This record gives sequence, C-alpha cells and structure tokens, in this order.
Amino acid sequence: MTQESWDTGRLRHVKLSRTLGRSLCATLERVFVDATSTGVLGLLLDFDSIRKLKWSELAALVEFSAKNVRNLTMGIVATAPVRAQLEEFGADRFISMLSSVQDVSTTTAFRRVIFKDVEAVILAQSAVPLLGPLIQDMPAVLLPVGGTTPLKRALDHVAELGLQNVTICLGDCAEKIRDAVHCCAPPGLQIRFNREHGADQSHQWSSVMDAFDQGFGWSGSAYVVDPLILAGTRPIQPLSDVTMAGKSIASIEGANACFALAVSRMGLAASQSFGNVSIATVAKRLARQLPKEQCAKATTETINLGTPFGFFQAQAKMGGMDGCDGPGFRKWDNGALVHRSSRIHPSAVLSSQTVIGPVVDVGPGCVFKGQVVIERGSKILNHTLVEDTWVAPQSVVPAASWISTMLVGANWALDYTKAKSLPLNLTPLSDMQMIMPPMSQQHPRVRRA
Amino acid sequence: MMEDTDYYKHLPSATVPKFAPLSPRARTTWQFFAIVSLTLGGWYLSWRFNASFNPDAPIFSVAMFAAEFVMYLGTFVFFFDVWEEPAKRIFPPGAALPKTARSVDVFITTYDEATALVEDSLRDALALDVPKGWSVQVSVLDDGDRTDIKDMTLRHGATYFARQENVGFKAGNLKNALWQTSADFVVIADADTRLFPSFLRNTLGYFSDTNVAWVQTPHWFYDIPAGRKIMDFVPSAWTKKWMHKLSGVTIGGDPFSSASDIFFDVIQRRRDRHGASFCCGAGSIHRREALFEVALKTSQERSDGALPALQPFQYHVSEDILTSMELHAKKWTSRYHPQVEAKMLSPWSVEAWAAQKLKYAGGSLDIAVHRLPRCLMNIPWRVRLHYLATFWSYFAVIPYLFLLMAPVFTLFTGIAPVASYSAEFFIHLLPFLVSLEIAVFVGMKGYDIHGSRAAAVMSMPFVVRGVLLVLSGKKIAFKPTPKTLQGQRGLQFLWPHMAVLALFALAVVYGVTAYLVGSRDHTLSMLVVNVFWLAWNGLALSRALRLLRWDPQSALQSQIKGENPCNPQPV
Repeated sequence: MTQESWDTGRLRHVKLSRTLGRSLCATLERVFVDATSTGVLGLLLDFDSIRKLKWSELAALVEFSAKNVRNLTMGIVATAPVRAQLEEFGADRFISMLSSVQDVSTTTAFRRVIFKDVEAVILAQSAVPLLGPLIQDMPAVLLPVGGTTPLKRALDHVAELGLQNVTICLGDCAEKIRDAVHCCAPPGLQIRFNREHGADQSHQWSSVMDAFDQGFGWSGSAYVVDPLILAGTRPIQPLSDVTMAGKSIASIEGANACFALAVSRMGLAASQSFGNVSIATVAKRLARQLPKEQCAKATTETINLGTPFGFFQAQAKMGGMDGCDGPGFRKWDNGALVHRSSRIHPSAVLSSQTVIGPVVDVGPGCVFKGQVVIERGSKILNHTLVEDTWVAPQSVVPAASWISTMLVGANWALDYTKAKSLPLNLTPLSDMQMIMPPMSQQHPRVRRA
Repeated sequence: MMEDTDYYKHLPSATVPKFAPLSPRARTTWQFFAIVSLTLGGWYLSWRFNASFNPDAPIFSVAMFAAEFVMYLGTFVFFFDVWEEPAKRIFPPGAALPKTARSVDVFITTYDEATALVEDSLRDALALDVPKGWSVQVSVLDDGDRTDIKDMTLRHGATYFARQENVGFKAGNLKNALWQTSADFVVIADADTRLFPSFLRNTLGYFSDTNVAWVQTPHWFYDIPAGRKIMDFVPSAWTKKWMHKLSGVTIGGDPFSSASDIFFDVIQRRRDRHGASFCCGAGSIHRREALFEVALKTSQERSDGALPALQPFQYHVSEDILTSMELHAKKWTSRYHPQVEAKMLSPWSVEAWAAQKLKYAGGSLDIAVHRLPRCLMNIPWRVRLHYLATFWSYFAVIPYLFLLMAPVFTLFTGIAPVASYSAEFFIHLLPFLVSLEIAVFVGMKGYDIHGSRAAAVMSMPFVVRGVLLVLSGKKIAFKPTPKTLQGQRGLQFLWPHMAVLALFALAVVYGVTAYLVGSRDHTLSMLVVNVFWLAWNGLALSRALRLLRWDPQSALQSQIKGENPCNPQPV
C-alpha cells in the first residue's frame, strides 16, 4: 500500500494505491487520524488506481468515514466498480462526493462543501499607481476589463467557490464600490463592508487586519481575494479550491502574458501567521535564455511571496506587482533572482504563456491553459490538468485538447533544456503596458511612473 | 509451592489424542437405537398423555408431562444434530492450497495473562510450518497494554498491538489488529493456545473451497486430571474385552468436566456434514474477507442512519457463536478439522470454572433471546437446526429444572405426577430409557456421558442465573477465564449446589420417614422411583462437594507425581 498526499489547507487529497503490500486498512486508519488531528476539514481519497476494493478495505473505508462524518467532509475519487461498491453500502450517507477523476475536474459540489464556512475578503481598495490616469475618478476594481470588472469577477469567483459570507474592504471611492456591489453581486452572498481606508492607508494588509478584527476567525476561515490579481485570468476553473491567479494587465486584451501568480487562498493570513509558508512564487523569466539587458528588467518582475508581507511589500515599494528581493532568493549569473524553493500552489490556475521555474514545484491539481513553459528543475505533481502547454522537453500537448488525466507522477522532475525552441515572447511588466478601457474611444497608453 | 502462573510447565507431557471417525457398525447401531428410542419415547408419551395423569393433581401432572414432552422434542433436535459424521475431509500436507491467497496473520489475544504464558504461545506460533510461498505474521494483541508483553513480543520479532481502551473486549481487540494487518487468513489464538507446527498445513487446504469462511479445530486441554479409568478396576481380561466400550468412563478425574471431547469430536464433527460447525474462538482460522463482508452487511442491515462501528467479530460475550451465525446467514460455510492442532489450558480454580460457565450460558442465552430470530432468518434450515440444538441445550434447563425438583415435591407432599407407579408405567418408561441410553452411549463414541450429564447439572445454577440476567436486561460481564491456580474458594459459587443437595437429602429423609410411618400417599414404588431420580441427579451434583475441597496446588502436585495423570485418552 502506498499513498501520496498533498494538502491545500482545509482539503487533503490522498492518492491511494495497492502496490507496496502495505495494508490499505492500516493506511486508511492513519490517513484519517492524521486528517482529524491536523484539523483538515475535507479529505479527498483517490482510489483511481484500484480496480476493486476488498471487503476489508471497503469496511475500513466505511468505518472510518462513518466515524468521522461529523468533522470531516469526505470525497472519493474512484473507478466505477469501486463507486458501485460504495453506493451499495449507502456511502452517500457519509461521503459528500463520490466521483470519477473526470468529474472532480468539472464539479464544484465537493469544493462547496469544503468551503461552506469559509469567509471571503475582497480587497477593493487597492491602489494601483500603474494605472495612472485611468483610476483618477474610478476605483481600479471597477475598471471595465474583458467585458466585466475586477470586482464583479471577484464576487463571481467567491460565489462560484461556494463562499457565502463576503467582506469587502473599501478604500477610495467607497460609495461607487458599494453601489457596484449592490448591482452586480451574485445572489446568495452575504456581503458586508469594513471601514473605509484613505488613500494613504492603501496598504491592503491593514484592511485585512481590520476585517479580521471585525469578527473573522483568524486562521483557516478567510479567503482573501485581490480583484486585480484575478482580473487577468480566464474564467476560474472550478477545479481549483485555491485560486488567485493573475497575469499582466497587458494581457487582458490578449497581449503577451508576462507572468502568472498563484497564491494560497489563505495567502495573506498564512503569510502573516506562519511566515515563510509555501506560498507560490513564479519566476517569470528564463534567465539564461535572454540577453543580459532583458535580464535586468526581468529581475524586477520576481515576486516574493515567501516572506511575511512580501506580496504587499512588492506592491507598496514598486507601485505594482513587481518583484522584490528577500531571503530565500538566489541570484543567477545574469542577475535574475529566483526563489529557491518556489512552489506553485496546489490547484492554482495558470494563465497562458506563463513561464515557471526553474526549481519550482507545480501542483498538484493545477490547471495549465495556454502555452505554459516549465523550466528545468521544476516538478509537476499529480493531477495537473494540461492544455496546450509545454511541460517537458520537446513535448507539446496539442492545442485545445484537455488531458484531464495527464497526471505526471510525483517527483517527476522536468529537465528543460530546449527552451530556445519554445515560442517565448515575454514582455517585462515594467515595459509600457496597454489597457483598453471601454468607456474611452481612445485607449491611453499608460507608462509606469 | 510453585509459581501461580507457570504451573502448567510442571505438568507431565501428555500425548496428543487422535480422534477416530465413527465406525460404520457403530453408526448403524447408534442410528438404530436412536430411532428405536424415539419411537419408544413417543409411545411412552402417548401413554402418559392418554392414561397416566394423576386425577388428584391435574396441574402437576400436566406440567410434568409438558416438561417431559419438551425434553423429548429436545432429544429429536439433538439426534438430528449428531446424526452422522461427514465424509472424511482431511487435507493432508501438500494438498491443494488456496491459489489466490498467500498470507496468514496469527493473532494471540491477551489481557491479563502472565508474560511467560503468552511467550510460550508466541514461541509456538513462530514455529509454525509455513507452506512454501506463504508468509506468516505473528502478532500479540495485548488489551492490557503492558510494557513487559510488548518488550517480550518485540524481542521475538513478532508484531505487537495494543489499544487505549477495551471496547468490544476480545472482539474489539481482534478488530483493532485486523485494521492494521492485511493477510488473507487470520488464526485466532488465546494467550494459552499453543499451536502445533502442523496447524497451517492441516487447515489451509479447506479454504480451497472459496465458500469456506473459517475452520475450527478441537480444543484439547492438556492439563486436566484424567482420573482412573473404570477398566483399571476390572480384574479379568475376559471381562475387559467385553466391557471395552466402557473404557472412556473414568473415576476421580477432572472435577470441572473440562474435557470437551463430546462437544468437539461428536457434536462439532457431525455438524460439519452441513458445514454448520461454529467457531469456538481459539484454534480457528478465518478468511479475512468473509469477516469484513459480513461485518459490512450486518452493520448496514442494523443501521438506520450513520453506520455503527463495524464488527468483524461481533462485540458480544459469545462473540464466536454470534460471528458464526452472521457468517452462516450470509451463505458462508465452515469446516471442522477433527484432529487436534493446538493445546490449551483448562480452568483450574472454581472461580475460573464458574466464570466460564456463566459466560457461556449468559452469552448463548442473550443471543437466543435478543438476536436469534434475526440471525436465523437467512441461515439454511439444516444449519438453523444445529444452532437451535445449541440454544436448546441452554433453554432445556427450564424443563429439566422442573424434572429435577419434581421428586422433591412428590416426596414432601406425596403427590405424584402419574396416577400410579404401576407395572404399566415401568413397561412404557424403561424400554425408552434403556434404548435411549444405548443410543447415546454408542452415538457418543463411548465418551463419558455421565461426566457430561454431571457437568450439565452442575452448570444449571449458572444457566439459571444467565436466564435471570438476560431476562432482566442486564449485560453479561465479560471476564477472561483466569489462567492461574488462584481464585476465590468454592462456597461462593457452589452454595446453590449445596442448597439443592441439602433439599434432596431432606426430601429423601422426609419421604422415607413418611413411608415408614405408614403414610397412605407414600407408596414403595413411588419412593423407589423418586429416590432413584434424586440419587441420580444428586450424584451429579455431588461433584460440588469435590469442588468445595478442591485445592489446585495439591491436585497439581498429585498430577506431577503421576498419581492422577494428564491427558484423557479418547476412544
């Protein structure tokens, strides 16, 4: 019996197989004990490699599930025969989701259960100097982008995740945001607003702290969303239980992407509470492949989320989502800074043409869409869904084809050696960006100050 | 004085018995007399019903007849139970073993037994002959959570399992280990169960039949005093030749009647013809998947909401018989391996004996009262009858108690349950009794029937207590049978026996006195019949007197010196 597991805060995903001869019953018992003792709320057991459960294994599964039905939401990914076995014994009484691998990637039911008591914080007051004149009389979260607004996307996103209670942190133009929320909030959300922060208090963390002070549980119950980070992504794939993804503003209208970012849904809280947690960071640059002058620019694009406040420091200091130096970074010969133990958080959604690595763990459970490039030394963990993405040397996943079960095994390290052959077309964030506000016929060119 | 916990090490070695099958001639004789006795019994009861009631005591007469009739029905069930042995089904070494399974777990359950005792059992388990290509893992399941047991177990390279709490007692202990192991088959051994090396070789073959859920082997107590055989007192060789059938009868043997030859070599062995032998815990080997399938299905049937905790072995005082019933109800079958493959210790103190009897009686009665209808519902009718025979043996105590006390009532009051103890009465009764005795004697292979009857009579107070406990809804406490020489002395457990014996004596004295002073109601024939019946049962109960004086230490010394050797020799 062997198992692989990964943890996304509240949800633990454990893949079980019968390969090493160890008792599945004993393994299950340990998995359940571990899950309950570490406060995990949801347990997703993956039996996909097991054709049929033995009676003893089925009994163990039923026993432990039933015993923990009150404090653990159970999901099971299994083959049809195993599902039939479980259904025969009324597994729906204590298993919230009984599904196939394919279904897991397309259903939100299980995630809604997991998130039923999670509260969302939407940071609607963030200052984005990068946008310059565009936000002189308009909060950034209300900028029309891609036919909608970042705030609307954020609200839709939390609703889609199954979150019920939302706190919106206000800043400048609070009234406009309130009005917009009342207009565009999906039904079913319980929305409240925390106190407004002035322009000089635009540090988002203070808003979050403030929200927490108003009654959030501190750890494990908040999902912090920055609408502007979400803004550039495609519609959120329901697979992700942990999703904050972004790309450059320039890519909103289909221009080249220059970075992708994925952080834990607990990112901010975890960052504050535990320090150097495994919040994702993405190197946006194939440092060795670009000319030195471009590397210098690329340096500024590295975002450090591995240290407390790193994300906010980056925003505060650089006036946008630029990089910053910090512990845990390694300087390459060409000057690029790369986080040594970066990790794309499980279930992140990565936008197209993202370049990841080197030395980044990806997944498990990420969604790759577009021509994502994964650099050498990186590892793709299980259950990563791939579409039109470069995942290995000379391997191209055909465009527009979902390989939902392309599960690259754990510790399968990529050795990317032919990056030159990839269609890279990176544009550093610090370069001039284009944005196309629909309210104006003439799209102003905004240059970073 | 030797150590209290390792007394068994000082016992002289005993020869392992070989249990022979019933010969065709003996089988024919037994079945012939069984039919004759049942026929004569029917004739006797018919006469009793039509012509023997005492018109002066109609209630007593009818009650007495009812008791006799119920006992007669019990005889039917018992005769069905032991009607014949199955065809020979012994798998010799090298016979085909299950092809899809290759691993065995040996579980040695312990709670408070001495470390040395467990260590001996563990050593024997580790010395099992393992069929080629198979793997065996021996585990000690310590519900006492003791450090010395753990150290000892690990020292021997075995696996140690302990629990924080003792939910489910032995069944819970087994379940805890079942979760943590994965072998295809599971051998159950108690702390004192010394498995023979041949255990696996001789039992695994039965599992080639994929319907077999478990195999039970006989319990052989290697420490019980054998007593002196009655044949030793027969002087002439010619007489011995003609009385060889009596060779199983002994005098002065085990006062606890622990020998279970009749139960195992007769009852269990013959139930095997219908795959109906039930599990007796120690010395059995189980198919893991069968246990869990039944646990799941049983749990599902019982639950009306969230599933209760699964019970591969049912959490019950009589977990073995209840688990057997659940397995049989789910169409699994069992096999009985008729030869000894393990040895174990018998109770050596009155306390241990009393605890064991109460546990057996209370557990079985609890099943009969609370679970029997549901359990029996899906069991094939033949197997069902075998189970009914088991439970009947406990419920029969109620009519038997009535029959036991009827002579007392008659002697004190002069009221008889029959119109008269006439020649007609004896003409109807005696042929029935004689043919019944012959049938049982032959059918039981010459084993000590009197000892078994005595054991049944001696158990009666515990069965009555079990009935009261069950009917009052109290839980039967589980207490492992102590494997020591210690224990509280007899009177605490034997006062009911003493009281009944005293009542018998008083009734006899009163009856004889009444007859001598010329009481019109106390006739000679009535006196003879009732005194004889009282004496017969009194003889069985008189074992209580031996138990009162029972000193395990001196009995052990006498056994060590060879004055009272071990090892009952089966015929």
